[in-house]
Formats: sequence, structure tokens, C-alpha cells
Amino acid sequence: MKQVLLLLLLSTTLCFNLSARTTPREGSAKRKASAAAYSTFDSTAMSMLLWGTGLAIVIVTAAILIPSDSSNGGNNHSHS
Amino acid sequence: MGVIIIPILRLFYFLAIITCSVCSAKNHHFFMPPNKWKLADPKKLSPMVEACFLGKGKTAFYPSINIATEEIDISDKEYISIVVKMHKDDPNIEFRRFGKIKTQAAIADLFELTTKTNFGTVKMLQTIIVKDNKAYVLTGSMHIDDFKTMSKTILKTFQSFQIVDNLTDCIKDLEKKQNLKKAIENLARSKSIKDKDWKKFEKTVLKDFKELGEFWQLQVMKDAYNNHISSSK
Repeated sequence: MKQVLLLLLLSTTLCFNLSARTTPREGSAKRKASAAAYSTFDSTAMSMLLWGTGLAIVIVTAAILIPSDSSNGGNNHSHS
Repeated sequence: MGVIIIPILRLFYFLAIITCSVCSAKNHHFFMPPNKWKLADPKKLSPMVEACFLGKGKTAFYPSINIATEEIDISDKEYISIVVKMHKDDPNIEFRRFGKIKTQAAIADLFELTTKTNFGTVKMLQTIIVKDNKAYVLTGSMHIDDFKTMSKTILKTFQSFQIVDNLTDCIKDLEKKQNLKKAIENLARSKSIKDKDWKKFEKTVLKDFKELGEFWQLQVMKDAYNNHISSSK
């Protein structure tokens, strides 16, 4: 009986976990399409930098510099 | 009663675990940047922009391709309609739908944006792929004088965009694949990455996997580094 209860409890926990992953949370909706805005901005901003100044020195340093969570990335631009 | 319930619950429990692991599987993405284009300094990029590659055109305005990503909890249609509205509302941008493009990840809408800069008229091509609650925005820009030649290069790069479960899945040579997997695992396991080990890893990625492009190499190194950081916490 204890085994049944334990498995039932585990299954319920997992079910809640799964539904939490798939149910959109209110108020968290990204409705500004920020990635598209930043991508559009950078496509011209980076192209207008002086050749050389806008380039990564080595690809390996870039790998470490780019933050793993792109939504918290460092920003040196001011977007209006 | 317990004889029937326990196996059923066990089965349900294992199925739930499998589903959970599938849900949390991390997608990786990359594209093949054009030949000889250089990686832009990541310190100069906006938030959400993961990488940018710069080429050389006829003018002082360098053609570029960048990728920005964001987690979303709306449908692809909703996201794209927000983007379209944003572009249409921008008085500095002339917006035009440019049909569809078949990338390796999905068939996606393609937009053409025209804007005036200090360097003259600039054309941008943009495509958006939405998969597993994540939006991938690829934008390429070029001076209008370069449009005829550069647009083809940019579209080819867009077409190469793919989303994979594991970056190593793209390696055809089985020996190289196993060696790289082992090297990534070793880095993740080590308490602190020794300079010597990291340099050896860099050398392997840059030398042995040129055919997969600089963005793939960048993603592999970033992933290996992040795996190490998360496992050493």
C-alpha cells in the first residue's frame, strides 16, 4: 500500500511538473518581439563599424564572452 | 489490487520521466556563415543577439548576418505578426514580404526591409523560425549596391540554418565525433579547466571541424564551456 501511495505521489508531482512546462504563464508572454528588434538594429549598427574594430580577435574568446543566457546579454548600445 | 496498480503506476512513472527528459532536451542551432566572413566582437552586440558575421562589399557598409533568439510563450503566427507590425510601424523602415525560405530547420517567412543610413540605402533580409517556444531571428543586411550579389549569399546562409539536439550529431566522421564527445565530457568533468586542456580542445574544434563553419565551432566551444561551468557548480 505504501508503495502504491509513493508511486502515486511521484506520478502526480511529475504530472504537475509537465503541465507547468506546457501551460503558458500569465503575464510572462513576450509580446514585444525583442529579438527581432535587436537583430534588426544590430544588422545595420555592426555593418557601420570600422572594419577591424567590430571584429572578434579570436573565435575562442568569443565563445566564452557570449553569455549562455542570451536574454541577459551584455549591451553596449543604447536603443531608442 | 496492488498487483495490477503497481505495474501500471510504475509504467506511468517511467513514461513521465521519459517525457520530462524529452521536454527538457536542449536544442542547439547554427548556420554556415559565408566563406571568409569574420565574427563580430560579441562585446558590441545587443542583448539576445548571439552572433554576427561581417563580410566585405563594394562600399564602406559591411554586409552582415546576425542571429538573435528569445524564449516565447505565444504561437509562431502571433510572434511574426508582432514583428511585422513593429516593422510597419517604424517610419524609417520600408517593409515588404519576400515570400518563403526553406531552411534546414523549417520553412519560414522572409521579409525585406529597406532603410536609409549615413552610408546610403541599406537592404535587410530577415527570417524567423519558431520552434519549441523559442524564436530564432536571422537578419542579413547589405548596401543596396551589393544587393544583387549579397542577397544570394545571405539567403544561402539562411537556408543552412538548422536546429539539432546535439551539435556533435552533424559530424560525419565517427572517430572525430567520438573524440569530440569525449573531450567535451572530460572538460565538463574536470574541476577547473587547465589552460593547456582548453587550448587543446580549441585547437581540435577549430582545426578538425572547419567544414561545419565558425558558428558551429563557436556553439560547440560555448556549450562545452557552459557544461563545465554548470557541472562545476
